[in-house]
Amino acid sequence: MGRQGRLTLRVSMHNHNGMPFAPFLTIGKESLMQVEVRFYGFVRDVVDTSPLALQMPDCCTLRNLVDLLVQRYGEKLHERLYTNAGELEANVRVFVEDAQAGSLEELLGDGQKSSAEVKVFVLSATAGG
Amino acid sequence: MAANLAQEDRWIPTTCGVCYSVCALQVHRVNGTVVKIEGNPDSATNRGRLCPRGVSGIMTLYDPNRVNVPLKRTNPEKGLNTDPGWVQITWEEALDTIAARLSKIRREDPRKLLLTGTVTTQDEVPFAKIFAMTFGTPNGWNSGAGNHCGTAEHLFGALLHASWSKLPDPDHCRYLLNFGTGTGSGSYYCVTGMAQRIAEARVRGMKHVAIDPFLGPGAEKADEWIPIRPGTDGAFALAMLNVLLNELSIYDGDYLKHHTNAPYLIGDDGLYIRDAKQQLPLIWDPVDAGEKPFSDPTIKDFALEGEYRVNGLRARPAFTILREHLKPFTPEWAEPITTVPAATIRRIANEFGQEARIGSTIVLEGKVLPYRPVAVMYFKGAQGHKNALLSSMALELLTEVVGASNVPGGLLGMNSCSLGYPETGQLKWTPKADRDGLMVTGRWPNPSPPYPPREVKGAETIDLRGMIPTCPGSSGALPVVMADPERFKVPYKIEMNLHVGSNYVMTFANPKAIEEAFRNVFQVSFALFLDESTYLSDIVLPAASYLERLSHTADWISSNSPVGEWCYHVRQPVVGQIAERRSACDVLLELVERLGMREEFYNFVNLMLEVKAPYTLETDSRYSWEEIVDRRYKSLFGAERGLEWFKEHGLVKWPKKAEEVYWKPFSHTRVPLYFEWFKPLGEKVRAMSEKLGIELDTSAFQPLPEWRPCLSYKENSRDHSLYAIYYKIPMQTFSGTYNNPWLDEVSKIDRFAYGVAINTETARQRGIREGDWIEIKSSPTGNTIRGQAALTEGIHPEVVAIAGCGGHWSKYLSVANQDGKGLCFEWLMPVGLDNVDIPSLTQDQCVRVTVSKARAQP
Repeated sequence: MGRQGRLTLRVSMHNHNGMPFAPFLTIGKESLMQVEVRFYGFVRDVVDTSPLALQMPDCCTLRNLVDLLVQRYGEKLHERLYTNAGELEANVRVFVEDAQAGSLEELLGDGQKSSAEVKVFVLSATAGG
Repeated sequence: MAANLAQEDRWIPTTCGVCYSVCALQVHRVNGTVVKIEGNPDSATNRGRLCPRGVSGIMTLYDPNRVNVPLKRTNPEKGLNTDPGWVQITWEEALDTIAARLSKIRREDPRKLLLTGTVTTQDEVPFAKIFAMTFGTPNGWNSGAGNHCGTAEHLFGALLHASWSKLPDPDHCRYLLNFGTGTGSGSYYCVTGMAQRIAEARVRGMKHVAIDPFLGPGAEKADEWIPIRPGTDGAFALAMLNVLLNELSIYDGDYLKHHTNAPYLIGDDGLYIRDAKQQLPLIWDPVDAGEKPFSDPTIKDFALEGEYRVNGLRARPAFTILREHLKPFTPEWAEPITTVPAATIRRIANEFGQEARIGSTIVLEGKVLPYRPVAVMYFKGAQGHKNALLSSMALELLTEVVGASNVPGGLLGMNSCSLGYPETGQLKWTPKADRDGLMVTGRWPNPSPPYPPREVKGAETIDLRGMIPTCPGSSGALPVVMADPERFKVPYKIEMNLHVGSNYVMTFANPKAIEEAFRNVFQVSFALFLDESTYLSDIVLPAASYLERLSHTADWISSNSPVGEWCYHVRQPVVGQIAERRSACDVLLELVERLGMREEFYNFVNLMLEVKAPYTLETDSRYSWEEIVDRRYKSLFGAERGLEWFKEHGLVKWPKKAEEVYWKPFSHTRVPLYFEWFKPLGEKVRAMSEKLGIELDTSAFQPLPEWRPCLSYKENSRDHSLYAIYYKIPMQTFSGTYNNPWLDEVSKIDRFAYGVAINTETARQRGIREGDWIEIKSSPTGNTIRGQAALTEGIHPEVVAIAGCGGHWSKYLSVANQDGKGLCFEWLMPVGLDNVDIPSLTQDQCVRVTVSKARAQP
């Protein structure tokens, strides 16, 4: 399966109750994988922190996924996760299958697996000293 | 009959929890009762030594004033002197009430929860922070240290040393320039270990010069004391820098070229000049006579001086700009500000520069390393002012220009680099370079180190830290914002305070203003005593002290000694449960279950406590606190070294390597000599504050240091002719120890501990004699406090000095609340942003006062 497909395929999202969200983007002819996303921490005031089920092409990057979520939850989530330069804030950690992602450009799938579990932690910068 | 007299007689290893240094203890228990506490000689941290606080813990353990059962208030009126009307409740009722409150807040807006704690609960507060993170609030306040935190110093610790704090290299330093810290005398980090090591360094020949308004516990151990006016240390440092760079031309060119941004070219807009292609900062190569990106492998040399044309623009190395910038700051300029003679400043600069021995090397573990045996120390005293950022910058640059940063003999970050525990590779971190070549810390107590700076955001936290990312520690803005969140466009109010062991009413500033900020908040306190802050509590839980509780490891990056060995300890209960006291960690785990947060919390625990497979917490199981601690130890130190091993052995240690302690020569990171990014960051903060309609003075966000007067310096009236300052003493920690009878006894022996230090001539002019009761009236707050005069020649004539945080008034503290048990300095300090250094959110701590003999003498 090539990894150059255009981002034109349909993606579907459901929350833990199975209620669908509106589709946000469609992506080429890639195979789809089941993605479960969960947010943790200082983000409860802007997102639903219950597990979120998505179907996404396995050629998607983590950035595609996070952008999709930002599209769903709006500017407040963007502000909580991203710097103005489009990088993750230092207090945000993204894990795929219990391994911390080194970059948002990492692919969600590896061409082998059919599902992925993604955890997004937003840490609070509570003070020391 | 004799068989019946057989006794249990055990020595149990654990750690001290009376301050943040985490000294190792051996506790002698006979038949279930603690009879003695000694230092553990196996520990590399304190090497068997203890301070008065360490040996006195037994008296806090068995203090009859301790809270032993859960309590709830019955009087709805709250006030600093209003009896809460405590009644005993069951743990069940307490937890039901707390869980219901938390549940409601979490549903509505989790940001309405605040966590307050102190650095002396270094094990419980980090765990409570995980609880708060999981809960979803960004709001925390390490209020036990409060304004005693060295806020701006920690900021520069991150930017220049990749560490929370710093210490002089006790093995090789030969000249310690100490601006008011207690290192080597019984306060500051690694307290007893460094007291011993600094004493040994003195014997070895190290000169210790103390620059301090008061010849107090720190300065009295020095070879030379130089009295200085409070809040002017930055001016002294600027004059020294000027002498070093412009009069003596003493600086470490090689260090500046390869380990700082001194050669980076700066344009007339104050910013780096960058290459068009990669946007990397440029330097000037004098051999090839051209500009190159700082990381270009063809660079033959770095120009530190000169003026060049790059892309038609004037370009000067940062070092050239620094030298020019310093020229007005002569010793003659500094003399009337600091009251230190210009000749003395020149002499100290010369001694410091000569002793730096620039160009010399030393061989350690077969490696040839730079040898720069000088260090500059400062902390709360020098930086706790309105000019915190710019004064700290000047003080820090002294170490940097002579290349004495993280090399043998110099100033060492407190554990900036760790190659990890040899058997597991865990506990491994190292500073790294960002795209501009500047250093990013490898480990930091909070999730976001100050550099690279976080995005400037609106007022999403209750302390302005979301808007001002350069504040690394306790925010001086929290009580101001909390009292009036609408003014700061914070879209919620704090409804509940989870209060873990700090007496914040007495450790920040004007207690009346603090009361106003907190009186309408539902407060749950984990408390050893019914201290002043619990007067504002709704529920008080009987907390287990450090001798009664288990810890997931009380050690942190600033508790290990800077040299010698890595050492990680256990903190374990040395007695069985007393009354109904419980550890906060235990209770928080119970609340996690009641709130249905287990899955989230366990994930956070795995992340924050570095619990890795196969020891990660699985969400389909429920773990006890002991099991979590066991898993953490095994994850860090291997299957053989779980909790039971630590309980028996007390600690694990291994030697530090030269490249861990003296890591700078091995690192490719650079540190700023010119803080270029402060300027655009300040502009962002200003833009955000203007957008939100908040008045903030952002002018201190600048790339080079200068000296600015504190508010107290500007106020120069005959009525308020003296400065009042606060200082730390070895026999008390913040406000949490004053009810300990042994520490009370020791404090009574030292006439300064509970008294007010005042210059003999200053006292004579006011008709004040030794032991007289005097009144100190604050100009900014109008509050008056009373204490007994302790006359001395060893204090600046414009200054009165007050130790610690005494002057308790809680009726439940039978030892501490008596007349003459010290003074609460905080009554003198106002709460307000005018008294805060905006970039670091540091509270200004010197105030103008009137001092007079009290009319009524007891």
